[in-house]
Amino acid sequence: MARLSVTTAIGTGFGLVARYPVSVALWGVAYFVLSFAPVLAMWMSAGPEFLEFFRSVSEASESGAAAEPDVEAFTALNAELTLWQPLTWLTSLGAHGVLFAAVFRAALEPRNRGFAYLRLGKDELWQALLYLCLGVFAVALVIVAMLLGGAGVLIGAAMPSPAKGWVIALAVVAVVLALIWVMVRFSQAAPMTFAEKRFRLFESWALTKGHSWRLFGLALLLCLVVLAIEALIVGLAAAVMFGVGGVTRFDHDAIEAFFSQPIDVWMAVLAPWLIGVGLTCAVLTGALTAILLAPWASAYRQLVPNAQTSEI
Amino acid sequence: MAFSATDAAFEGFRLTKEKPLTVLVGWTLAYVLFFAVICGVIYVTFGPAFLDKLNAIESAEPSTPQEAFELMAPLLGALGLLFPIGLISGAMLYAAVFRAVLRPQDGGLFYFKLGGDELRILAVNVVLAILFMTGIVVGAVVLGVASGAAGAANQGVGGLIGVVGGLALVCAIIFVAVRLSLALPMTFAEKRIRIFESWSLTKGRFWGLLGMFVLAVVFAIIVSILGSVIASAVLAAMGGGMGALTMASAPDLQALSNPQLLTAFAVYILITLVFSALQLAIMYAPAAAAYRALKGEQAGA
Repeated sequence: MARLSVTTAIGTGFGLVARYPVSVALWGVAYFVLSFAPVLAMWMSAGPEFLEFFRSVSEASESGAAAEPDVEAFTALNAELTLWQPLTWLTSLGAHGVLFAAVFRAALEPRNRGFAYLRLGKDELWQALLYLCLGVFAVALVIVAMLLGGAGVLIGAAMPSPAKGWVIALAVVAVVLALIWVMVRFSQAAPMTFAEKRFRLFESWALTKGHSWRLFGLALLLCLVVLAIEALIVGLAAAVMFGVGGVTRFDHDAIEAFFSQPIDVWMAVLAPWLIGVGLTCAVLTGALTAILLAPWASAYRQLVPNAQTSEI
Repeated sequence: MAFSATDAAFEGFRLTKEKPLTVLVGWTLAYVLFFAVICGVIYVTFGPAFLDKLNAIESAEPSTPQEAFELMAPLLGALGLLFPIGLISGAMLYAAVFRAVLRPQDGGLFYFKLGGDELRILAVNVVLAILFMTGIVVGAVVLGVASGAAGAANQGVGGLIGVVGGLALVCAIIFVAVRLSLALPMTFAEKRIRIFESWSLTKGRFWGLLGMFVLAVVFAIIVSILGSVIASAVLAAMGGGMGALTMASAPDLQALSNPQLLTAFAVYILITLVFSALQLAIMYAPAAAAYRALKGEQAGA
């Protein structure tokens, strides 16, 4: 049986960030653009009408008029926005496909560089489809786990006092562990799909057999790494706000007064900040995705040493 | 060929890629035909003012059972006609998909026929429906009695039996449904009624088959969303703007007197039916592929 080294795997994402910083930043930007382009289009299509609607409501309330808001107009606007939803949903899915495939391409096929490892083809389609399927499976799994855990809690609650707490705790811990175990067993589906150029899901179950503990260790380490990175980012943001930005206290009244202005006024003030934060988040998204995903590609390469992939 | 749940789940897409004319044109035409037959039955039963009559039934508040029956009589008449049509058309659709996957050499008009295969599938469908309905009713009654009896002594224990028993009943129904899921392709392939033989064929394959069906459902939902996006975009583009989209959720017959909107709405319905045909392949073909793979494994063992 192939041996899996967690320490080798965990460093793969950092290796990608260090080796291809521009590519990693571009992944985030591509993800950001693909995710928000339809939102922007939606705003351009329905935004002016929306602003006009809110302005008329705001003016009516300021003038003290007892006029009721135009429910019909609002329903029509809402219907238009709802019709955009499937499109935004599909492009967001596509964005995930592009981002995930780029990370796996860089980790598993580093020679296949092209435009920062970004493509729009079959690999991206498979990753998007897999992402969706895994999402649906995860939701179904959580529902099943909650039902089973709930049944365990009910059984525990019906027991006499000394055993009650233990049975409930045992039921909850067992369900959480089972949930993690199933997720770990499906963890190779994405790199496997990329490497084998076809949709692979249940095949991950067979591949991860006998490696659950090490893969669990990898997942645990990645959680700790993400927590550390998040703490660093929050610390930096706080330093910028309080140190450079001159913010000294949380002024609730000032914030309320700011947002009580018409929507187009406060949106105009906030827009540059939102764009700046968005771009920063985009770059960070690329790096974080690389750090989180690449280790699973490394694990795949270790578990399937003869896979048709090129070494970094 | 060994059974792979993932590969079997993709059988509908493979079929569409290999026989696009059959799936996207032939089966769409079949849907158009069935749609026309349903509309025809409703038209014949209710007459030209059928929409007004259907609305009247929906908004009526009958005060006596006699009034309710008189109001519902034409609807029951239509349902009496539509029920056998639905059963036969359902069996024909199943058989066409299974024929395309398992016996493509049999031919037929886009693999459609009306013969022994269709009758056997219809019979198995009816038997399975009766079996499941009976199982659900019996299970619910037993659970209700057990829960009630236990609840009379101790309310908490009664509730516990109700919840845990309900979960167990749902799990049991899913388990039996998956184990009997190959009855239809088996009946088609072996040209004999096969129901419980599916149980032995699916032994040890529950999780794989469950995964395959869940994947197929997810694919069908994706295709449905994609279809609605494309159809809505075409309706808006051809119908003169976003306002035309209200036709998709609440069709207005008077608005259809506008030729531009009528054409857009017809194209919208057609696109929806094309995607329904694709969903048909996605939902039905995996069971046939699973049967082929498991039977092959059994023969090879």
